[in-house]
Amino acid sequence: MAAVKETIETVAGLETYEHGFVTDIEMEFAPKGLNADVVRFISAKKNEPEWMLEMRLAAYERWLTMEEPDWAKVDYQKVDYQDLYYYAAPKKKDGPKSLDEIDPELLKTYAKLGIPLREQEVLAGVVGAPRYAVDAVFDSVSVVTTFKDELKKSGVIFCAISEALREYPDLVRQYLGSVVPVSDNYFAALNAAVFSDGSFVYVPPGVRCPMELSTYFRINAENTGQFERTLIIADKGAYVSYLEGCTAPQRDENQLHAAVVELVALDDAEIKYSTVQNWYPGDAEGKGGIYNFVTKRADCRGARSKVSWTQVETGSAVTWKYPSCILRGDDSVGEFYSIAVTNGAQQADTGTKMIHLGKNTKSRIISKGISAGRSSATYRGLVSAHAKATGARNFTQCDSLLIGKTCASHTVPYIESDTAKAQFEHEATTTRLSEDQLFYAMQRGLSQEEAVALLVNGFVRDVLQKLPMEFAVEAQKLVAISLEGSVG
Amino acid sequence: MTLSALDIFDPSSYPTRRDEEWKYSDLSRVLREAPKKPLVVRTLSELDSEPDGFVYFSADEAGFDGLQAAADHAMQKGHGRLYIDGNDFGDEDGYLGYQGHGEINVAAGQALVVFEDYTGAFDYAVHSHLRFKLGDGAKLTRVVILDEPETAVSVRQSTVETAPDSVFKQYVFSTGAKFQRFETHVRHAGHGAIVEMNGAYLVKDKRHFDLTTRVSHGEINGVTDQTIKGLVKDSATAVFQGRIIVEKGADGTDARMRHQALILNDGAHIRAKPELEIYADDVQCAHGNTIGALDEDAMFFAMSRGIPEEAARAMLTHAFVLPVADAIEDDVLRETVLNFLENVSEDFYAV
Repeated sequence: MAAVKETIETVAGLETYEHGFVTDIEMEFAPKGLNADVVRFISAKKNEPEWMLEMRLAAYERWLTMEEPDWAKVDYQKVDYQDLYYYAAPKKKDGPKSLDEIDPELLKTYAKLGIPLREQEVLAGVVGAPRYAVDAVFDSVSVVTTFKDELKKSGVIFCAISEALREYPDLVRQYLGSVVPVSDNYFAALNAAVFSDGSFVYVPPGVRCPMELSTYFRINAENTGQFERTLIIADKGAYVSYLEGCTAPQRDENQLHAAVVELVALDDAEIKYSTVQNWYPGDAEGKGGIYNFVTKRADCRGARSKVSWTQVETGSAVTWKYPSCILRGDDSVGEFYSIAVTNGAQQADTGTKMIHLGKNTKSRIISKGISAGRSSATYRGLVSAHAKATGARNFTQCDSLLIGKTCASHTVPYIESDTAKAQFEHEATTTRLSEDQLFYAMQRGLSQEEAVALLVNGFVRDVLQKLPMEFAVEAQKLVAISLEGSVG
Repeated sequence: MTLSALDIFDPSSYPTRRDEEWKYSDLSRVLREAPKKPLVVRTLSELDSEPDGFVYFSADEAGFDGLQAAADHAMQKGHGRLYIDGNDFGDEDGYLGYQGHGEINVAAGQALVVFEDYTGAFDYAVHSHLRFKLGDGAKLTRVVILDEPETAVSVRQSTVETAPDSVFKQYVFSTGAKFQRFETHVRHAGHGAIVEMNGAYLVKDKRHFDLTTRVSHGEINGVTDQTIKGLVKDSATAVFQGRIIVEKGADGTDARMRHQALILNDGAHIRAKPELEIYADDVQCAHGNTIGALDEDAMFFAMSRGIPEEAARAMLTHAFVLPVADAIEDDVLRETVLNFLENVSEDFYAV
């Protein structure tokens, strides 16, 4: 079948990562290495308020005293933090307010990415292009933000966090670091010290954000760590759906990505955060590839608030990521839907934390791990209930699928309960593709590849269904590419 | 943290919360300094008395010298039943420390039932390490009752090496202690070998019980089945850490783990970490973990048949842990354990 052939070709193409190109744009670097002066340099470059610089310096001081965590089931060459650039920005032209003035090289980059959401058309200003608001982060600095004005009409603020720091300093100050404190962990402290840009979203009370918000992250310059900082606040009764997708060009040296995402949901608010992550996983021998050390956390501060994380992780050499929900408000709800696909020499240690503090809080975790090649995929999750979290409920399902003799799959759940009136259920299974099901599908005329694709799609369907439509297409393609090629 | 690294008389060897394997049980916090060494000299136990058809072995103060001889004696007797009776008496003024290790080999084709009964009084800190080794087709059933005082610090570790077609069955029943950890590491030989690791705990007051198990499947076609049930009340803490490892090439492994616990009042703690670590693809592995309150449907069923609410709760709570004991094949031991559970569970009524 043509579709299967296409997939196989794509898989073959995967050996030389299709997004492995380098855009040649003049860059402006901070000096290599990390010290208090570099932190000051970044802050000064951004014209940040004094309190922000103080917060960064405090984070930096704290980071110096911390040790890189080593409890995850990942094995990688440690990063030399003094051998990285912490700030790289495309040189600023005078007032690139309109899209025509954007560096054509940059637009070409988006074209090469083959962005399925057609944001490139939006970016290129094509009439009749679908309405998605894109905040594109091109190596640390938000280059263009579209539909900002339209969003503004409904009161939604969607801009680069550096801009928000200038224009809405009080709002940022109130929430920044309130979910992920600067001292939270090694990578979060590093991020707080040196973050160069990211997205800021504020949805005012009672407003349903009129469009899906979307950001593309891209790591471009050699030896630059990317440290975005995202802060999303849904005020009382607000709703917002945020999409995050990533690709990165091929590099020989490992690149560090230590982002922090903070979500705050007040009373009756809902935030849906979806990620498709397709960074360069390294070559077939595992050389190169992105280190993805991300701290994502949501604070369901208000009663009846809801946060839903959906992620499709197919890229990166090493993934260390646990999108979490602090269910503080009574009757708040946290959800985590995840597909983690590892192939080649990739390693992923990912999962979630659901911390039940409020009464009648509910959480649901559906995790699908698929490992092939010589890769390893670990689900690591915490579900905990405080003594006062009466009526808390959690359901966790972790399924792992193994393809091939040399891959590994681990399930490491932590379940902590301090109350009699909580109900926690956890199920996990690990299997390989069922021979019976394969046989059944194949005797009905499907080729082996088609049968495998069918079964694998069925395996991850629960999670794919949770993605916004536009993302589901891309995600399905990514999963298929990563998986089907690995079955022999 | 390897098994042999702990020396009860050397505080620098005490694990802390920073050791992932001891995350929920911080020995260094409970035992701040080394316990005193006892002055008494251990005596080898007599092998004559045989209560209820068991060869009796006294393992007081973690004295396990001569354990193999006692096991051999039991197997030669034909009934193959060994009663290990461990009584540890501490001091009322600071901890007395006991440490010992023993070994039992069950030769190919042999069968042995071991009943370990640990009790004690006052302040003591005990660390024991038993090694079990099974030959091809051997069968070892291990029934353990941990009935230690709330002042005791107790770390009982064991390693089990199985062989093809051998059967290892373990049943552990505990009421916890000030700090109690029962740890079993099994090397699964596969090739038809069967491992069952069951247990039940009923922990109250400020007691702490930690059941840690690790089963490593190194060969093909191994079967592991684990069911752990537990009740906690007051401000007690129960920890279950189960890990099943399937190494590369251990295809055809079928491993299942279940942990079910009831928390009887707010403020009691359950910490569960059921892990699967899989490096082979042709395997069936699953684990399930539930923590919660009594099944309200079952309550309704009982009450709709005229059973008063309190009695129904008592009945259902008691019934929750019984299936683990019911599975014990040895009649005498099953009765012993059921009696033990009946006595203990009187205090455990779900709310």
